[in-house]
Parts: sequence; C-alpha cells; structure tokens
Amino acid sequence: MPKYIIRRVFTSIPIILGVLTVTFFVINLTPGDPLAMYVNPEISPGIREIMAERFGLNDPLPIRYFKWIKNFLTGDFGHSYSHNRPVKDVLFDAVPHTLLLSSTSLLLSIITGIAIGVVSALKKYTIYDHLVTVLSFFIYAMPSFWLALMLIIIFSLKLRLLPASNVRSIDADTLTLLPYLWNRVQHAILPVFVLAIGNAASKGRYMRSSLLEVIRQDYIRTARSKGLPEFLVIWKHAMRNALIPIVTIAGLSIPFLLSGSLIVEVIFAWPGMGQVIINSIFNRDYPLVMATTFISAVMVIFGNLVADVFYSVLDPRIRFD
Amino acid sequence: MRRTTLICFLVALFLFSCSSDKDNKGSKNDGNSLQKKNGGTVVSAISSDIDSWNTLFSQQSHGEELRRFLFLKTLTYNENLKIRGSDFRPCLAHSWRFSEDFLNVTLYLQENLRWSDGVPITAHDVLFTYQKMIDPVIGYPHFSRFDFVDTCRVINDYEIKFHFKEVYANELDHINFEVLPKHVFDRVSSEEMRDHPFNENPSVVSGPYRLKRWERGQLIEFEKNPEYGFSKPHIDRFIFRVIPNQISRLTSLKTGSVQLVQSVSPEQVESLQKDNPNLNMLIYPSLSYEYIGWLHDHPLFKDRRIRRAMTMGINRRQIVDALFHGYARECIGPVHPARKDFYNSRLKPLPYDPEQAKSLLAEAGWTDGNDDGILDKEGKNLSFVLKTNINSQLRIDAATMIQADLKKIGVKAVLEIVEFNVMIAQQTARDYEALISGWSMNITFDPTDIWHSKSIASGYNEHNYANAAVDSLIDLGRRTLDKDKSRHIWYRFQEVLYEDQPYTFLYVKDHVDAIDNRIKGVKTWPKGVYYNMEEWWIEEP
Amino acid sequence: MILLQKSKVRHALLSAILPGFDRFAAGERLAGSLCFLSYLSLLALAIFSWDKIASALESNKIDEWIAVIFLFGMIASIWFSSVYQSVYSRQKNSDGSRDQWLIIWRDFKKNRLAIIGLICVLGFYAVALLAPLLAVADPNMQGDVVKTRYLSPSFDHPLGTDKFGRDIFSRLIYGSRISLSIGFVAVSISVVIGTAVGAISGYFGQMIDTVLMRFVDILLAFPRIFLVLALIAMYSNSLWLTMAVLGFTGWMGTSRIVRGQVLSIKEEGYILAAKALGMSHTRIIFRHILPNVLAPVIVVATLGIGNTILAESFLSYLGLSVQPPTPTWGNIIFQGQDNMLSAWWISTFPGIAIVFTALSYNLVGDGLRDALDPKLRNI
Repeated sequence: MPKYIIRRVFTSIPIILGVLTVTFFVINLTPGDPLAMYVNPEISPGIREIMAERFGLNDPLPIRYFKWIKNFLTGDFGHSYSHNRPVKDVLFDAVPHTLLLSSTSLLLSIITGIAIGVVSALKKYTIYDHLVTVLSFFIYAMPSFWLALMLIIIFSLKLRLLPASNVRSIDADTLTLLPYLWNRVQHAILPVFVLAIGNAASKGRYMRSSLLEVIRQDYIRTARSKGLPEFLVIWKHAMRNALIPIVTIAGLSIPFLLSGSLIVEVIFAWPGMGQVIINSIFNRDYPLVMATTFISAVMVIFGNLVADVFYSVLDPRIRFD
Repeated sequence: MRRTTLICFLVALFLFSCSSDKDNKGSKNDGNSLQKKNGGTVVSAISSDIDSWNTLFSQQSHGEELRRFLFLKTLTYNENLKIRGSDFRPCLAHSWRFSEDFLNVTLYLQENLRWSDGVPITAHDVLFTYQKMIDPVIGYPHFSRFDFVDTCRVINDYEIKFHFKEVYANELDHINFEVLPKHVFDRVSSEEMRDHPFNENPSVVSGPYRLKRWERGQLIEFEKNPEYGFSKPHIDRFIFRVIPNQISRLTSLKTGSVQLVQSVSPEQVESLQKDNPNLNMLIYPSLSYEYIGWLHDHPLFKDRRIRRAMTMGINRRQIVDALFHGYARECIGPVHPARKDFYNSRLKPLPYDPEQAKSLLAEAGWTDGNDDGILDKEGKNLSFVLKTNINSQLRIDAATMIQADLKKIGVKAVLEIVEFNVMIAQQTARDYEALISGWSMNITFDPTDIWHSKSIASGYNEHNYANAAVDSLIDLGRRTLDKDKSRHIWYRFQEVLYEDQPYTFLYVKDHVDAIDNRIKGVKTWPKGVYYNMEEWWIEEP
Repeated sequence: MILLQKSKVRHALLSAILPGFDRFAAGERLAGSLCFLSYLSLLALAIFSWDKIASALESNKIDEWIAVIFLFGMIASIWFSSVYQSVYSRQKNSDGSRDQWLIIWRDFKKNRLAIIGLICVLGFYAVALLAPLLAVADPNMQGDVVKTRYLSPSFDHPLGTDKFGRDIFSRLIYGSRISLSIGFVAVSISVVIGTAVGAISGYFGQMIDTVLMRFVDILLAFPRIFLVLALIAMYSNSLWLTMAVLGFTGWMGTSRIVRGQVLSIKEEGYILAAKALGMSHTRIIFRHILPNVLAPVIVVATLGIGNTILAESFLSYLGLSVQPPTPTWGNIIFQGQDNMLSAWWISTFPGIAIVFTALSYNLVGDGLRDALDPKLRNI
C-alpha cells in the first residue's frame, strides 16, 4: 500500500507539470491585456510599458516560460499584477476562508446525502421515495446564483434573520467566545446551505442506487434469513458496502475544498479562493492564475488518490500492487 | 495673490455640488443652528478592496478617495474645483507664489503640522515624494504629470520651489499630490519600496484619520488621528466593508448594517426612496462620459457623414431616460457641461432624426437595394461589430438599445460583449470597428492624451483620430493662461469635434449614492462623496 | 367476426373523433388522455394562430416553416396513429424478451416520475419548435422603452416585460430554443468525444491507454472555468462557441466511464471469439463493444443535459454566453437580477424554466438508470 501511494505520487508529478505548462501557454496566448488597468486617462500613458518591462511581459514566450519554471521550482510564485503583492500572500489570505466554507458544506452534504439516499432506497417507489427524489432533483436543478439571490431576498431582506454578506460582523472580535462563534455561524449559514444543498441531492442519488444494489446481494439475504433485525442488516451489513461509491465521490470533491465556489463567494462577499480564481482569470493576472491552477491540480490528484485508498480500505477485494 | 487667482480660473465651476443641495438642505440649516455632535461610526460598502496604501503603487481610482483619510496633499480643491491652500481646507501648503514668467512657483507649508508619530511635516517630505514619483524604478502611475517640471528644490524646511520647463495651464494642479513620510523610508531603496510594510500598514500618517485595521477583502477601519494638525473630525470611526455583489450591497444598506453605498444603479433609486425613508439619495455630476468610438481607419467610419448619421440615428435621449432614469445628460463633446468656463453651451446635442440619418447614409451611397431592411452598397450590407465590455451592465443595456435604434435606419450592428481586458487589448491593437466605452476625466482639463494625433502612437487616442485643427488648438490651449483666450480656444475645439463627430458622444453620468439620513453635513463633489468627511456628523435619533 | 368488425369500426370512429380513445379504453388512461390533450391543444393552437400560420407561409423564414410543418405533422400523426392502432389492435409482444430495449422501456414505464419527466422534456422541445406560433411578440422588439418596460404580467404580456419593454413570455419561448439546443449539442459533442476516447483507450490498452488517460487526468485537473474562459476569450463568444466550449470541456467523465466498461467487456468470450475470427478492430469496436456501453452513456447524457443548461446560465451570469439581444434562459435571469425585488417576473420565470427542464432531464436519466440497472454499477 505505501509503495502504491508513493508510486502514485511520483506519476502525478509529470501530470502537474503538464497541467502547468498547458496553463502557462493557454493563459498567455489568450487575448486580453494583463495591464489593462493602466489604460486610463488619469494614468500616465507610458506606465503600461514600464510595468510590462518590470513584469517581464516583453520577453518572448519561451523565455518567460523557463523563467517561470525556474522561479516555481524554487518555490517562488511571483508577484500578483492585480493585487500588487506577492502571490503567496494573496493565497494565504484566501485559503482559510474557503476552507471553512467548503469543508463545512462538504461534510453537511455528505451527511444529508446519505440520509436522503437511505430513505429513498429503503422506501423505493413509495411516496417517500418520489417526494425525496423530486425534491432533491428540484434543488439540484436550481442555478446556484439564483438560489443564493433568492435566499438573500427572503432571509436577509424580508425576514431579516441572517446577514447577507461578509464572514462576520464589524465588531465581532470584541465579542466573547460564544457570541463570536454564533456570529460566525450566522454569516456562514446561507453560503454553506447553497453550496451543500445541490451536492447533497446528487450524493443522495448515488447513495440510493448503491444501497439498492447492495440490498439485492446474497449476503444480505443470508443476514436477513439468519433472523437479524432489519435495522442491523442495513446498518451493519449493507451500509458498509453501499458507502463505497459515496467515499469515492467525497474523495473527488476534495479539490473543491480549496477552489471554493466562484459565484457563492462573490454573492456573499466571502473573500476566498473562488473570488481569487475568477478575478485572476478575468484580470489576466498570470502569476496568480498559475498558482491557483497549481493548487487545484494538486488537489485533484490528491483527491483521486484519497478516493482510491479509501476504496481499497472499504472493499478488501480491491488490491493495488 | 492676484496671480494665483489668475491660475484658478481654469476650473471655475458652479454646477458641482449644487444638485445635492436639495437633499442636504435640512442638514445644512441644522449645521448653523445645532451643535455638531462628535462620535459615532459610519459604515460604507465598497465593491472592491484598495490595492495599496502607498500612493506610489496604487493604480485604482478609488484608492485616492480612501487614502484621503490618511494623507494630506500639498494643495486642495474647493467645492468649485478651484485649487486652494489650507486657508480653505486642510492641506500642507497655506499659500504659494508664482514668478513673473510663470516658470517658478514656491509653496509655503504650514509650520505646525506633524506626522502621527510626532515628527514635523516639512518640505523635505514633499521633495522626497516628488523624487520617488519621477523615479522610473518606482513606476508611479501618474509620473507624466511632472513632465513639464524641470527641477524641485527645498528652500528651507517650510518652503519648496518648483521650476518648470515651459508654461503650462495646469501647473498648480499637477504639483498637487499626497505626501509620504520621508523618515519612514530613510534607509529604503526604490527597489525595496514596492514590498515595504508601509504599503500594507501605513503606520505614519498625516490625515484626519489613521488605519486601525485592514482585513483584506473584508473591511477597512479608520479611527481618529490624535496628531492631526487641523480641527478634529466629528465622526470617530469610518468603516468600509467590501461587498462585490450589488444585491448584497443594497441588502446590507436596506437592513441597516451599512449606511452608505456609492454608485447605486439608477434603476434602484425610486424603490430605495420609496421603501427606505431613512435614506437620502445623493445625486451629483461625475466627470465621466460615455461614447461610441469609431475606428477612423475603417472604410465606413472614416466618412464623417456616416459617423454623423450614426449619432443622429441613435435615440440618446431615450437611453438616458430609460437606463439612467434621467440621472445622466446627453453630451456634445469631451468637455463636461458642469465645467461652465469651457463648456460651449451654444452647441446642442445632434437631434435624434432617423430620416436625416438615412438621407446622410444615402448621400454616402448606402441604400436598401435588395429590400431586406438593411442598407447596402455594391452588394455589401451596412453592418459592423459593436463591442463593449461585460462588467458594465449599463453599457451592455445601452448597446442593446443602440442596436435596436440602428436597425430602424437600416444599419446592422452586431454586438460583441467581451471581457474588459480583451477589449483594452483589442483597442490597443486597433482590432475593432466600433466600441462603447467611457472616460473618467481628471479635474484638470487637458485633452492631449485622447485627442491629439501624437497620442495615437503613445497615448489614449485609440481611435486613430487625426485632425490638424484639433492638434493646433490643443497645443495652443495648453499654453494659454489667459481666461478669455483659453475659453475661446476650447470653444473652438468643441465646435470642431462637434462637426467631425469622431466619437458619438452619448451622455455624462451622475453619481448616485445612497446615505443614511442621520449622517449630516455631507457635501458632494465630482470625485466622490467623501470630499468633506471631516465635517460630517451623526445626528442621534 | 362481423361483431368484432363492428366494434372495431366503432372504435375507429371514436378514435378518429377523440384520438387516444382506444388507449383509454384499453386501460392506459394516462397515455390515452395525454394523447387526447396534446391533440386538442395542437388543434387549438392551429385554429387560434391561423393568421400567424398564414403569414408564416408567405414569409421565407425557415424557422416559421418548420413550426408550421411540425404543428400539422404532429396533429396528423397523432390522429393517424390513434386510428391505425384502433383498427389494427396492437399485438402483444410475447417474444419481446429478446429485445433488450423493449425490456428497458417496460422497466422505464413503471417509473411514474421518469415518464412525467419524459413528457415534460418532449413538451419543452415541442414548445421550442413551435416558438414562432406561440410567441405573442417579437422577442427582440423594443417599442417606446420608457412606456412599455417593467410591465407586470397581464393579458397582453402573460409574463410581463423586461427593462427594454420586451415580452418575457416570447423571450422565454425563443430562449428555450437556445437553451435546449445548447444542452443537446454540447452533450452530443461531449458524449461523442468521451465515448471515442474511452473506447479507444479501453480497447487498445497499454501505451495508448496510458497516454490518453494521462491526458484526461490533465484536463480534469484544470478548473473547468479556466478552460471555458480561455476558449471564450480566444474566439469571441457566440451561440456555437458556447455549445462547443461546454461540449469540449465536459467529456472527460464520460470517457472514464466508457473506458471502465470497455475494460470489463473486452475480456468477454464473444469479443475474444470475434478477435479469433480475425475481425478488424473497427468492426469489433462498432459492432460489439459500443452497443454494450451505450446504456451508461445514455444515462450520463441525459443527466448531462440538465447540467449543461445550468452551466449555460452560469456563463450568462458571468456575461460570457450568447450575445445580446438573443435570449437564453440564463441571460434573461441575469438581466433581471438587479430587479428581483421591483420586477420579480423577469428572473423568476426563466429560473423556473431552468429548474423544470433540468429536473425533467434528471428524472428521465434517473429512470433510465434504474431501468438499465443490471448493467450499471457505480455511475
């Protein structure tokens, strides 16, 4: 097993380099002026050239590529054009916010997803199943920005129950621990809900079909015929195997932990990675684009690895050599 | 001082700040009769965070507005955009004196001012800041404003003298800048300044407030600066929350967690006023205008008749009414109507006249020969691509209406809404036919960068507009100090542009800000609402 | 014999007047009433929009012609099939077990929700095809903007008007064409590429497999939004580009699923036999492998259409989808979002349309998944 993991890690290095190389050339060849913000009659016309020289944008592309590779290998992500500060500082500021939002919603979506799936599998083709199915697809089918705006209108504007934006109140840090935590929770409810709800619905569908699959197996029939109570049959025997695909899906959701959600973060004024990623692309902030792509590529590969490892732990039939 | 006034005429404006009078009448009267209260907090929502607290490295336009809380400038503007010394509003210089030939000016600084760490503010700070601003290693975004400055030297601790290469009408405006504390950067090279901690944490300031906390992408908090040398501001804390989405911003405003939102979409004004009696809408002119730029090398748009027909075929009045709800005005050229001294009020916007537009096009050879509703000439349809950028909903909406208008005169405009950076790149490469864009103008008036033909190669004349008459008028106007003479020059300049229609000038926009009506004493001016924030106070309910 | 004939004639007559009668009589009430209702509504549409049909026939616009042909085609085919079936009563397909698709259809029919989803999907497509006849106004027509904008729903404008005074109902109907075709075309692209890559990779294995799958890994490791934005910036955005971009960035999942299926089928006896017989690779792939991986691909495709319509609305939110004034559901919502409070109708109805379309597709996909169950494990 450790050997397998090490081999996977090594084979992923060329993939990551490949991703970064493609990203580098794609983003540099994409039309758009990374220094567009210097085109402004309130700003001196010559400044664009000075900045281009400073950021090395006047070098030929291959040279820029090798320069970038050299810096990258020494751990230097460079200086963000649009934030006007080192890329790593930008990332350090954004990651904790995103991590908080996405890990909570991931956890929540897994729990709800399993619950939804179990209910609709055990009550297959009954009114409960139909109700849960339609409801979860209904929510899944909503564009998330639409849902987010609707929730803001209902809960913040009309009912005045929850704040519409930001991660905490202005004077939250003067509060004692419990009210402080409550303040944070209040601000997180709406974005977490929007992020979790769609995922919960799709995880519920996976859970449903995999549990249905398992219940039909011989060993479940055996367990039932032994006279075990239905409760135990489901929870001890069926669930263990039915959870395997959910674990895979959860592992594949890991990249989402750091890439955040673009729209939800913008709408709820959550200063996380989602905002950084989308702004970096729109601003053609090359160093920042490279850094965020690097993170996302690492997370994708890491997520796949985690999913596979869990898979083999849960299902002893799967062996890696 | 007579000479000072001679320079000041350049930006004598009256209309500015007038339109907000209605909303603030109550508060102004209160100001005379009631005691202005100290204390309280004002929370504003802004759509994006500031990039740097150091004026040398900041490229955003709203950065200057925020830095005004922290740093004094050498000079200041009065409400009518006339430049003044600190006899009028807090700033470093209390007066100045020009030489006879207008090639030298000496600034006399206030002698009692201190940085927030107790160090006196002197002419050495001004000189240091000037030297950094022209240092190519620093790359100050506005470095070319000093192109006409020859030398700058300190006479004594409180006198500094600028020597100019040539006479320039906007001399005084261009030596008005934020001053940095020299002693903080004593042993710092220009290279190191870019990543200096001061840029993130300006610990030594000169303005009415100092930075208490800055949570990136979340909030900025200012508290009073105890060392501030002028009369202390009334409001204890100013807080800015970063909220990128407009609906979230307005929701925070309506629920009261935020008291001030700038640049509200004009559509929202009515419903905000109706549902929220505790809000005042501040509506006042801005210095920005929107236009359709025609590429002058283009086979279609090099013909003046076609450009004129386009302008006459677009119902600009309707766009102003529909999209801006009246909070904008049609315009005739690059001079803002509020700039009374230069604005040529004899010129009226070209009328919306589809019939005449059609006959102009027919004159240029475009008729609907194949009867498909689109004009054609030699088998080619009159069709072009009209670009604008995605992050401006008002521009996209205007483009949609312009497209419908042009269709009525048989012109097919294909819309292409692109990212802002893409549009700028295409504009720089002249890879477009026509585009909707806008300029936000400086307080000083100098059309060189946009209209002079030398700016085609290096500047913002990205429409390749070259007109010898315009060039010579600009060259003349820049050098002319006499009020009446320069007025005639700029009048003529507008007439030439009006005849030529190098752009289709669409409209000048108003600022639309929403503010809690307990905040009193607010005076607006074209560069934003925080103009006199030291004088604001909060009336307790 | 004669009696039977008589009842048949009666049946046929009744079916001619009330199409769907025979099904209703045969106990298939849902199918029967649906048949009748759709017949009736199409007929009503034909009568009420007679002047539109007449002008459509005079014009040379291809979409109006298609709408008219579709309308009468549907009326005629419902009527004929109803009469035909009542005359030649359908023989019970006793040996249907041989045809796996019939079994799947039978399983699928058991799932009430999936059937409802299917009916809705077909309904949406019918609306899209009939758009010129259903719309009450030109979707891009702006009148006197200041007077006609932000009208709340009324008889003239069933779903109100937007900020330019354009009729939301008509925009919604015309928008359904764009949104549905974006979903359909993009998913077709991604299914074709995904199946091809997956099948080649799984069938040939070894180097080809390694190279292709590493390539898929690389593509999966990009944030999709990055690829989409880069492509849109490179080629300025249009309807076709939106379709292509969503298609070309969405096929990686499919290819993985297909590859997995192919890997397991490859070792089956009949493939080995085919190889032993000296069949060409192309033939084995097309004749023996692809038909057997079709089931999961169909499920992925139906679920994908819903997602693609959502993705289009997301692109519209960023302002990067189809150019104005062409309506799509996504950009109608986007344009109305600032007025969600004062003019709720602008973004509410397209939102509902998106939700219901995606919902219907997902229900169909889900039903298919259940019906195809034995072949499907971990999708």
